[in-house]
Amino acid sequence: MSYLEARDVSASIDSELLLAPVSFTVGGGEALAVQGRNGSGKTTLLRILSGQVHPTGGRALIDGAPLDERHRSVRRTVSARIGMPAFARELTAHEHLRFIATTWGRLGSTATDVADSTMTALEIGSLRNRFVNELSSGQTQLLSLATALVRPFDVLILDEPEQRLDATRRALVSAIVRAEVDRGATVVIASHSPDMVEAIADQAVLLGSP
Amino acid sequence: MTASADRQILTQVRSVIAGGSGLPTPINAGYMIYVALLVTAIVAVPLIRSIVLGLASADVLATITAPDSYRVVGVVGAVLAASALLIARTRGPIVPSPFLTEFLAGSQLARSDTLRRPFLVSISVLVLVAFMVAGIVVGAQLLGGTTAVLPAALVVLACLAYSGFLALLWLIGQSCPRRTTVPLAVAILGTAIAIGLGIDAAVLATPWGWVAMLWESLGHPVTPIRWWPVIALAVSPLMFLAAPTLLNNLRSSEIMAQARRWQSIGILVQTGDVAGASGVLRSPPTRGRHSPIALTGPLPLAILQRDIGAALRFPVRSALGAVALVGAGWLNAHTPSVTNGLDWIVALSSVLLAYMAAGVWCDGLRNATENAGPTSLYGRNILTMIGSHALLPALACVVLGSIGAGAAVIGGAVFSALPWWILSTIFIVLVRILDCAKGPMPIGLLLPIVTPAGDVSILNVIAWQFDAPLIVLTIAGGLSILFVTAGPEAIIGLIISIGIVMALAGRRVRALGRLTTS
Repeated sequence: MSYLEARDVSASIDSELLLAPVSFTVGGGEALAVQGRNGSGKTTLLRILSGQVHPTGGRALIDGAPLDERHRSVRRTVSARIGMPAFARELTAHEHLRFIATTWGRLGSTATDVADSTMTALEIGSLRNRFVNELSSGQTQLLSLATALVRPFDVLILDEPEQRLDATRRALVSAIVRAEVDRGATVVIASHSPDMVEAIADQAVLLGSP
Repeated sequence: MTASADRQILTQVRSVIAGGSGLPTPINAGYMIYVALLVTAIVAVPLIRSIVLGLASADVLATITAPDSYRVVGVVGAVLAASALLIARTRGPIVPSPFLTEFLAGSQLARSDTLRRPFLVSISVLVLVAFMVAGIVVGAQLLGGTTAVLPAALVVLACLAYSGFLALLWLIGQSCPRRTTVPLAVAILGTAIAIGLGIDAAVLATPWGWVAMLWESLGHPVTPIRWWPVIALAVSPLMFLAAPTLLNNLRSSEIMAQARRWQSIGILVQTGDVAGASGVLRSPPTRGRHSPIALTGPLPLAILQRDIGAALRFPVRSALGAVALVGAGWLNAHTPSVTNGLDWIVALSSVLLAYMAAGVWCDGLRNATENAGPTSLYGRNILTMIGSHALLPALACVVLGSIGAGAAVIGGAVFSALPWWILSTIFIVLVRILDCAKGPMPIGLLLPIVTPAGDVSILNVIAWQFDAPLIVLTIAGGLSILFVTAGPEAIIGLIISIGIVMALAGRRVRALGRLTTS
C-alpha cells in the first residue's frame, strides 16, 4: 500500500498565497481529513496530492517519489475526485462506469460487473439507464463518487464528498470510504461534515488562512 | 502493463464509446455527410475555382512570382512556425472532449496511446489546409503558364511536409513550458526578420527557408531545382519520433482547461453567441494586481484610466493589439501603391486587422454593454458609460494606427493616406460599439428557410453574427480601394457611413439601456 507525504507544501500564484505551508504523512490503511475555512487551500492541497498541481514550496511525495500525474504509476495509484467530473452527455450512468472500468483494464463482463457492484454499493442501481442530465444533484454527486470508486486504486482523494447528499447518503458514503481504508487504501478527504470526518478519518489537519 | 494489453484496453474502450446509448443514429450521420457533400459542391468547389482563376491573372502572377517573393514565403513560414508554438496554450493540437480527457487521458494508459488520435486529426487538418493553399497558388501558376509541373509538384510536397513540421511545433507549444517555447518562438521570428532583410544564411539553415528555396524555382526556369531542401523536407517526418514523448509530457490540467474552454466555445457558437465564444478565449489576468488603477478626475477620464489599467494586465495581448494596429495603418496607407489586382487584398486586410486589433481595447466597452439593463451595476446611463469606454479603442486606433500610416507616408506613401486612415478608424470604432451593443440574437432568425438545398436559415445566423466585420470589410475596405481613384467620393461615402453607423449604434445602445437608471 502507498503512503503520501507533504513536507512544508505550499502554493501561490503570482504573489498570492493559496495554501500556507503544511506537513503530514498518511500511510496505507489510514485516512486523513483536511479541514479549514473556505479559501484555506483544501482543494489546492488535494490537487497537489493527486499530482495535478506542483507545489510552489515544499515537496509532495508518494512512496518517497515526487507526485506528478504525468507518470503512469501515479495515475494508476491515485484515484482523485476533486470537483465534478466531465460527464459525457451521450452515455448513461452505467455506461460511464463501464467505460471507466474498461480504461483500467477491466474488460468485457468484468467491467460490467464492477460497474454494477459500485452502483449497488452506492444504492444508485436504479439509475443505470439514465443520462447524466436526468439525475438530481444528489444523484449526480453519487455518480461522481462512483467514478472514483469504480477503478482500482491504492490512494483515494475526495473533495467534500458530502456535497448535496442527505444524512442517509452521507452515512452510506462514509461507510464505503471507511471500508476502503480498512482494505488498506490511503484516503484523504476534505470535508466540512463533522459526521463524515468522525466516521472516516484517523487523523485530521486543520489548514490556517493563507 | 504490456503494449498488447494497452491496445486491447483501448479497443474495448472504443467499443464502449461506440455503443453509447445517446450517440447519433445512422440517419443523423447520413444527413451530416449529405450536408458536407452539398457544401463542398455548392460552396467550396466554386469558391476555390474562382480564387484560382482570380490568382491566375497576369498582374497577380507577376507579384507572386516576383524575384524576391521567396523571401515572403520564408517570412510567412517562420511566422506560422512561431504562431504554432505560441497559440498552442490557447488551442493546442490535443483537445479531446473533457470526458475523454478525464477518464481516458487520466487512466493508466500511456498518453502517447490515448492522445494519438486527436493528434493525428490535427495533423490531418493541417496537411489538408496546406494542400489546399499550396494547390490553389500553384494551380494558378500552372494555369497562367508561369511554371513547370515538376517545381510545382515539389512546392506542394514541401508544403505538405512543412505542415507536419508545424504540427510538431504546435505539439511542442502545448507540451513544453513557456520558458522553452517563448524563446524558441522569438528565435524563429528573428530568422523571419533576417530573411526579410535579405540574409541568405537564414534561408539555407531553416525549414521555412527550404520551402522558400523551392518556391524560388517556381516561375524562374533559369533557377535550377535544389534537391537537398527537397530531401531535407522529405525526411522531416522523422521528427514525429519525438511525438510520443511530447504526448506523455502533457499535463491533464492543461488538456482539461483547453477541452472545457473549447467545449464552451463550441456550445456558444452552436447557439449563435459568437461574442460569448470569443469571451471564453480571453484568459483571466494573472498579473498587475498590485498596480492600482487611480480612477481620478471626471468620469470619462476615470473610465479611461480603468480601461488602460485593465489593458496593462494583459501585456502580451495589448502589445499584439498595438503592433496589429500599427501594421493596419501601415497597410492601409500602402493601398494606393499596390499593383492592380492586389490592392483589394491590402485594403481589406488592413481594415479587418484594425477591426480585430481594436477589440483588444474594448473590454470595458463589452463590460458596459453586458451590464446594461434593469439591474445595471453602474449609476450612470448606458450612453455615458459606452461613450466613456469608447475613448480607449478610439485613442488606440487613431494614435497607434497613425504611427503605422505616418511611417508609410514617410516611406513614400501619399500623404492623404494619413487623414483617410484617421477617418477610417472612427468608422471602425463605431462599428465596434455597434457590435458590442448587439444584444442576443433575435429568435426569428432561427426559423427554417426551406430551399432545394435544404434549410439555409444558417445564412441569417452567419449574417447576424458577423455583421460588424462584414460592414467593416465592405464599407471601410471598399471605400479604401475607391479612395485610390476617387478620393472625394470615398470621403463623402465614409462620412455618410459614419453617420449611419452612429445612428444605428445609438439606437442599439438606447435599446440596451431603456430601463437603466439615468
